[in-house]
Amino acid sequence: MEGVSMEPDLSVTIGPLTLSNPVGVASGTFGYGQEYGELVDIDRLGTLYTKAVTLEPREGNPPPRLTETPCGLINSIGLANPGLDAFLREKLPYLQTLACSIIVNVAGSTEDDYIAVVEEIESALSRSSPSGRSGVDGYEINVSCPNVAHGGMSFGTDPLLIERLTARIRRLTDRAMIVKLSPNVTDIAEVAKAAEAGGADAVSCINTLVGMAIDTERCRPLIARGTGGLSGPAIRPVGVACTWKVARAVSIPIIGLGGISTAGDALEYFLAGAVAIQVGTALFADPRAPLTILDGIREWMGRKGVLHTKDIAALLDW
Amino acid sequence: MRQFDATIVMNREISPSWKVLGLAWPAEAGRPEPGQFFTFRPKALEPGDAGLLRRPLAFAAFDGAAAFALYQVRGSGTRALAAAREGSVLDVIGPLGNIFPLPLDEEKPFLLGGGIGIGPLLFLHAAISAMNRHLDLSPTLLLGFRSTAFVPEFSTALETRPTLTSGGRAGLESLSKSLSLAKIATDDGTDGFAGTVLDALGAELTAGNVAGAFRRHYYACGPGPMLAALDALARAEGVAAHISVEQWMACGVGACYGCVLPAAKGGYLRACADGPIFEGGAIKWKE
Repeated sequence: MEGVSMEPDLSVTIGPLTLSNPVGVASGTFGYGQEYGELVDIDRLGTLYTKAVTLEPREGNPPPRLTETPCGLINSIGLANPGLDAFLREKLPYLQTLACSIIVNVAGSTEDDYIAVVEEIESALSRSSPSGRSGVDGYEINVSCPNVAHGGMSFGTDPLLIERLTARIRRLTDRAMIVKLSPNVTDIAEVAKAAEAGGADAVSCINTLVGMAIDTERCRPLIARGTGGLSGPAIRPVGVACTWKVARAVSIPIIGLGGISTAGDALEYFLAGAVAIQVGTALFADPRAPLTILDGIREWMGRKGVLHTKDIAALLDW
Repeated sequence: MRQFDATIVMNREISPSWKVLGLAWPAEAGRPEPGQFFTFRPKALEPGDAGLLRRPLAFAAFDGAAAFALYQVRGSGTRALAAAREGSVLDVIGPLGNIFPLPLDEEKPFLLGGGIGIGPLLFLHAAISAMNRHLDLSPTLLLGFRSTAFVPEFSTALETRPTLTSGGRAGLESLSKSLSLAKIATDDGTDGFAGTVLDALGAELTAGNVAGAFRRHYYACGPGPMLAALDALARAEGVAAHISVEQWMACGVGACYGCVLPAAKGGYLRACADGPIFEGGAIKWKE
């Protein structure tokens, strides 16, 4: 087939799930979809990763919650969300109307919180009519949020806890299960291996880095909680390196994220070992970014003669 | 709401601290109403630059063809905006947020703008004035500034753009007219009333310029302490109030929960999607 131009097959397999294309919108940046419904052709996305869902409603952290830093954004939202019941009642019906894959991001303070969220979503879906879309194609287990006092990142830094939590959730669902990894660890490969051992279908790599910015006139942090999670182009090299390390440690697929604003950024992640990507902070600058990135990936794959994203990493000449 | 490339029909200084931005506004984007805002992404801010976030700006006028906003250069976003040339395009999302509710039939509106927050009140003033209400119920516009140097002046902008036709002249004239009808207050007394805009309101009420038979309705936009003081005053007087807030935003459409303010009833409210207009008593202001 050398030299013959061919249309790439953009679909990506994550465990039991086939994504129509490798581009997703990252959890926490796209709400539950409806907020962006008038601006983005959501059906053209590969995957929508919802804002985190916790068992109980969460108000989130006090403001200010955002600050811009060089090539980055620090946020400390604190997993503000309406809780599981309101998610099922108010958010799920809209998600069921969408053509893209829907991955529900799940967070909690204790292991049992995570279990309860997945269990109750599974139970709600089994009660609903089998016709039509379920609105939930899988779960992204958020063990890496740096902005909550309990749970979140405290799980994500301990391989034993990760493996146990992943294994417990695995028993509850046949849907795709993705573990979202924190870069705020000594060895991200160890955590990825634990997720794989627990039965995860994939890992998302990476969540935000702990960051802090200080107003030197008022002499106080620019984020009310002091530190927050740094995202944006500033963290892309960290995310690419983490993806590279994890790709050498596990055989499950990697979904790369962290600072992707262009197709070139996405391709760095693919070359490092990812098979799909998520766009987050770049959405805030331009909601059109994910679909522009998708077009660029397709063009690059066609030009390079690569049929699947999973074949891109093999092109790394090193 | 729409995301589109808006042609800049005007972007120039109208007085030492103020700039006026005019954007050709297509009908399919939806009609901007007083209180609403748009976000823009300055051309100079490309991926990889220090600035990532879009900036919100409140509408100050809309004439059917062009939408206007007033701004001051305060940081990287507005600096980049100031450099955008007339005739070039600006990536815009709007109209966003909720709308100032119009006063009820028996309500006398008082519109209070402080400093950078005057834009939405000039827009609201034009909208209420167009209702041809009874003179006793016509809007009183009170605008406060630090000093006379910070008071905007539209006459030069109108003079320098004699060719500005349907795409903007009416909007600019509306801004200019509302401003000419405003009562100005300056903190240092160099222009108009000497004192804050709330002091000016107090003076207005005690001077008996207001027919006592009418219920008042306060509208305000400006610095936090001013809004907190007005909210407290409205509550003490039992007067209806609607307040426009400004916050750093990331998404601007209600998805990220980054721009919240503490709510009086507990929890938080999003400036972009629950606001930017809030009823008196809804916000828990800083102590």
